[in-house]
Amino acid sequence: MEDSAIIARLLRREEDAISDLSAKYGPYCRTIARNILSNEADAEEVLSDTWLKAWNAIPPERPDNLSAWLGAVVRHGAYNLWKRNHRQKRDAGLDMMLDELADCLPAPETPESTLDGKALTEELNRWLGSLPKEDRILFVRRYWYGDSVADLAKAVGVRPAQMAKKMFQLRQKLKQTLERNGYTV
Amino acid sequence: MKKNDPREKLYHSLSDIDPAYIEEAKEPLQQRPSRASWKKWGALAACLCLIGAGLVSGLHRDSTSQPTGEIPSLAPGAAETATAEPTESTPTAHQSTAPAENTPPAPAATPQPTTIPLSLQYNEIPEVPQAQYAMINLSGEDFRTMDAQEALDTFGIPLQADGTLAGLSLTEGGCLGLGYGKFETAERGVYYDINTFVFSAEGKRITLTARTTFSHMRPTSEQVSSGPDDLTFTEIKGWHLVLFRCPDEASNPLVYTEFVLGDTVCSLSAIGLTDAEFAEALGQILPAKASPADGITTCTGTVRNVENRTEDYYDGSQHHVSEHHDWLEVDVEGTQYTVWLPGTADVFQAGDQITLTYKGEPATAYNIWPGQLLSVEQVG
Repeated sequence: MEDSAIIARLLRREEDAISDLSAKYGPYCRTIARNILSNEADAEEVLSDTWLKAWNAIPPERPDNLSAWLGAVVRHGAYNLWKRNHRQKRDAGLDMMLDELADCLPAPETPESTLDGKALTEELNRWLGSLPKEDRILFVRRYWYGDSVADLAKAVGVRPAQMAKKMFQLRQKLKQTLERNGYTV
Repeated sequence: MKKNDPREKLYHSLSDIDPAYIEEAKEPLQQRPSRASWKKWGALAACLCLIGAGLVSGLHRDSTSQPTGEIPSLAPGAAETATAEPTESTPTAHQSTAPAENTPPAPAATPQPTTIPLSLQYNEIPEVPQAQYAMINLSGEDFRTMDAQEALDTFGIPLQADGTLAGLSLTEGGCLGLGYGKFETAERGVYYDINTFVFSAEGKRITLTARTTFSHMRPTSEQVSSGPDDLTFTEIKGWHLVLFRCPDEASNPLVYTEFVLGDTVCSLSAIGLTDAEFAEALGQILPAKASPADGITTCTGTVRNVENRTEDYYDGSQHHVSEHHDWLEVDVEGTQYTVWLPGTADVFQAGDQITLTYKGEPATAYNIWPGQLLSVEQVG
């Protein structure tokens, strides 16, 4: 079913829209949730919350890109659940991702300006646009979809250590770009 | 994690990156040649060095264009292959039977979802009785789960979850894809409880929907425009039911009816059933009832509101839709009926006493349709 048809059904408050949504995007959303949370039960909880969020948010929202919109909802939901469960240290996926993202952060001592969330997204878009396509896909697969380094290494056909090094280089590139522009986060 | 953790900020900013990059990342990654392959070509190249550098150069080009391997795709519907085994046993939203696009077809026995092209709108917000839509927010925290039998019992539906309906077994169902249950808090009580029960086997499918909340649903102009040809009557155990026949989204012929059991509004739709089988299903659900043999009801009520206007809006595809509404909202002995009067609703005004004569049960809960309305007359 086309996204526009699913959104139209949500706008009309037709319950089958949730089934349509889960049929088309269930596997996709579950993959992201699993990647981030590393816990099957939590991933399912995030998935259920995602359908509820979609039902509650559309309308008034009408996402231009349903796939990206749902993925972002999953990421936010997974993060919130991770935060709730953090003391139990159950979700190695997001712990690792956040530790890696710390590498991208510019040194805080010499900021010319602090980026707010939206400006940081714009800066990230500019930086992603400057990357070779293959590097950009790797970065988005690791830090948006939450694919593990091991899975990415397998997909590309290199050793995990090589992929880890590649991801480190990309994080350093982002850090240098932010620092060069005088930003902190 | 400390407060205002910059990692958190980076994570959330990443969530909102350009969707084009998110889409792009669904593409398979270019697989690099394996080390073994490289060694093989490297050794061969070393030997051929003696013959000529130009030829070596050509071989090297060959070595870098090995066929790419099978890469898991993140395309919607295909992502399941990218990770570990699926867990379809959990009773959550993903239990839908609709095959996802770009995924291998489901086993033949998997029933297709019943899609009723009758869009119903909610109009039962106690505080705003004239409202057309109830944009309620549902909180997952408020969801109370039930098993299928408990749900059937809750709605007063005399069926067994492990039994059959017209020979079909209960295969799936639930509330908004969350399993059977209802949204309820101590303060609000039950505020959403629309549950679906699907009975299916081998191309036959019955969908029973039950609700006590949002019982006054208003049909769309699509329904209103249905002529008498689309609306027929059947009599089962004293119930004179209105049947609608229309194609579902897959163009399968679908039959649909609604009825009220106590406080529960039920709808029953079926695909692939004979009329006799559909009647059998209704007979299992409906208790015997005394009613006029011809199914004609005459009652008196008060017009509460007259709707006579055109509503313009854009649907999800940004198509302009214009719907004209012509109906009376009439209080009949404490129950509000919506009486559809295309082109003539403005003859009446709020406060008018009217006598309604119609055939059959209200066609969609508490809605009396043009196809069943025999007369509406002002009293006095």
